[in-house]
Amino acid sequence: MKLVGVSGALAGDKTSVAVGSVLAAARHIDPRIEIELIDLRDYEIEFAAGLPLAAYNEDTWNVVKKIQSADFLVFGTPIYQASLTGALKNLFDHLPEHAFRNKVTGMVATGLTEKHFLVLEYHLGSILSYFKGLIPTDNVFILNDNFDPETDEIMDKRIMERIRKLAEEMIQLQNGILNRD
Amino acid sequence: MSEIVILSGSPSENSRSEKVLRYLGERLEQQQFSVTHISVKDVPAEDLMFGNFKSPDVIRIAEQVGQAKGVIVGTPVYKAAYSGVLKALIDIMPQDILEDTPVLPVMTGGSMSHLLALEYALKPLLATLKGVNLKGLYYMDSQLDKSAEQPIVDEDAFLRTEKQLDYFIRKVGREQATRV
Repeated sequence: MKLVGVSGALAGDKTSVAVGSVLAAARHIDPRIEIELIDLRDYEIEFAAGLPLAAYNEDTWNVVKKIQSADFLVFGTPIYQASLTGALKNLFDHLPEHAFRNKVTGMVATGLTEKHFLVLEYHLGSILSYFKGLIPTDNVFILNDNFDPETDEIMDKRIMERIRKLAEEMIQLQNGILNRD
Repeated sequence: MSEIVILSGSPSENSRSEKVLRYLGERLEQQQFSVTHISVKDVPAEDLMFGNFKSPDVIRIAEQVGQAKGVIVGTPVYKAAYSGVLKALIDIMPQDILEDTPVLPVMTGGSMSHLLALEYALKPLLATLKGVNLKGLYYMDSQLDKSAEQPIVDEDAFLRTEKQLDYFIRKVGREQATRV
């Protein structure tokens, strides 16, 4: 079973750390799970303009293929303008309509203020639903203050527990989908 | 006929949001507006429960809201959205009841985490009724004191309130000017 994490930040380490933590937690629960982190800082994704995927550069092609190869996924975004990043939305724009059918799609966000807590629930979640992703009941919102300012490690144990619970729920749900008759 | 209608969606007897709405009403009266307060508690529970749009109370409220020059709608945050009773009342109102009407949405909640319920739940609902939304006001319970004369005890929240009231009053004036 392959779990792919996507970090939608183009600057800073926090979102990447957050997504990476979900991947690590999943691996800890079930060591057989194959994991991969797609950090959008490492790829040059072209702007989606309605062309067939082959018309774009190699990075765009590779990232879309990696996403399609996943059994289930976790998406992370910093909160920009009370919303997900344009970089992540642009990546979604490259995907086919039912990209996440029969796939669990988890969500994590990093933000400066708890005022943006509902962005996952109302905004990113509705986009994942459009792609037919199954959204776990748990999601994780991490305040920037919960990261160590030097190392960008997550310092709050309660957050780590929420991440563990999210990973656990995602694995259970995905096993349910894959093992149904 | 009242110029400003203030609609409270709180079912609670001793409500924080209603206390704020009362205060906003007083401030508008000081600015020479006539103000009518309406609460979901004014409608018989059975009318709301069974969607009785022929209820005389509902018809009267619909008339008052429909003819208002400006409307303030307030509700506590319940389960990351507006209260169910408020929605039950709005469900039996005409669908364009707020057409060309400036609307100031107001919400109170236990934490800042539900601030965006204003953006994702209450404002789209008011927009569906063709209301012209202002930015709106969100208060944390801790920013309010129900027993105080002026219930908005947090200074930042108070300043935001003043600003939104000012925008609201100006917008009501503008809509009036274009309608004539």
